[in-house]
Amino acid sequence: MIRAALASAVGDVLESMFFLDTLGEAGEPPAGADTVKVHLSFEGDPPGCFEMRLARRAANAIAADFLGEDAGSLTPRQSTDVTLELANMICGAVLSRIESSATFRLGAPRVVADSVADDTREPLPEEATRYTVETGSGTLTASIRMETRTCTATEKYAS
Amino acid sequence: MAYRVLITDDSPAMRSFVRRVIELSGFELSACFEAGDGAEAMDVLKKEWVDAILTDINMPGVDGEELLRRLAADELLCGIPAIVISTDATQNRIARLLALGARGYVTKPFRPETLRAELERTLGVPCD
Amino acid sequence: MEQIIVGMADCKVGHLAGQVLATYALGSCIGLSVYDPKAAVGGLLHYMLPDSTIDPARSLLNPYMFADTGIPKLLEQVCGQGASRRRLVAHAAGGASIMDPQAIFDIGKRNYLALRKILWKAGILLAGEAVGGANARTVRLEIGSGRLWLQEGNGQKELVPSFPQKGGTTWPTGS
Repeated sequence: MIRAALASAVGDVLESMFFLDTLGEAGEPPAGADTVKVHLSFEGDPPGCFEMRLARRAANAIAADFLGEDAGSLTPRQSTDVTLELANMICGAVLSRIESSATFRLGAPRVVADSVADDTREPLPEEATRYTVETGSGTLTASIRMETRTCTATEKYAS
Repeated sequence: MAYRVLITDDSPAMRSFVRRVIELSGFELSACFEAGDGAEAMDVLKKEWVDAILTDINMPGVDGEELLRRLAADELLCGIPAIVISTDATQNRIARLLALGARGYVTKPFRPETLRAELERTLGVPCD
Repeated sequence: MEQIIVGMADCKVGHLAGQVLATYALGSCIGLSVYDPKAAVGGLLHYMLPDSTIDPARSLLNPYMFADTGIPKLLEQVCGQGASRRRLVAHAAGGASIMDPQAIFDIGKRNYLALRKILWKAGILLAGEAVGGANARTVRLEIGSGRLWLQEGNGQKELVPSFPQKGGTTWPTGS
């Protein structure tokens, strides 16, 4: 269910505000690929964290489309701002799909790796749900991990 | 008629996008103020009159929900229509914000035409 | 009325009151209509594919085949006849999945998204649309009045009623 929500959210966000028809699910990029990685945490029921990894070429193309500008005239700051907002929107769209009756709160997205050399942060663990699409200018990988509450002994034996 | 609007969002990219939608929707803007959170928005409103406020909800510092509370509590500012633009599409949140006085609600992601229609509805201008 | 047919991968502009631009068989193709109600100038483009980079040589021979070359040409031509880009009222029809009901190739959707991207960059929002689905469509634009008719299946409807004639004092939002 989470994976379906992730896929739907990615497609919806990219189509609505970035006018992008994704070219289907793709494989994750190799470790050395030139990508920008964004991380944000969220509070909710349950809380968790979200990461987005976006090919740099795709980040620039997407930013130009979003702002209605030519890619060549964008500043790096503009490209980063759009990338952060893209992550914010995808995460919000996923959570709205899976936490329809609860209230969630997104933390501020931040770039955690802006180049291959910077990418020393541990990726989200294997149990994170991932989805990768090809944008036409490179891949976008969205990952979400919901924290699960550990069942206490009292709760376990009360049922 | 020329409008004065305030756009409140911690994302400069989203503020640019919203501003562009307003301009392309045919509304003549005599002033477009921007704020990064609710506190900055209130600072703007202490000095400038606006015809409409468009605000995000999830912002560091004073968030959009608190901004709506402060607007509702101010006898001058409570009359300014506020449109919420937020990633949160949950029914709980939407209901709560409308109860706080938001006149419109647009969920991100949105088509530019959707925001245009909400602006026209909120400002009382007929749609095409 | 002088009916001017816009074929596939074609574009026509009108500036005379008696002219009607018409295009047929909009399946996965997109018919883009633009009209300036003050100048009473309009244009209709019927394009087939989203992106000319797949065949740049073809786009030089016929820019109207592709969204990215055809739409700028349409805008250039209507403005050349006295339209103002800021006043243009744009409508789109088509983008269906006629021979591809499960939308495997998705040409209709890709055509539609290309349209929206190019219009956004050009500073134009759509005033209306009839896109998607599985039906072919026909569109007619009356230059004198700005009326836009859509035919889909067995039905016909007026997408846009007449604009006030030149010399009127009230213009729709966006004009």
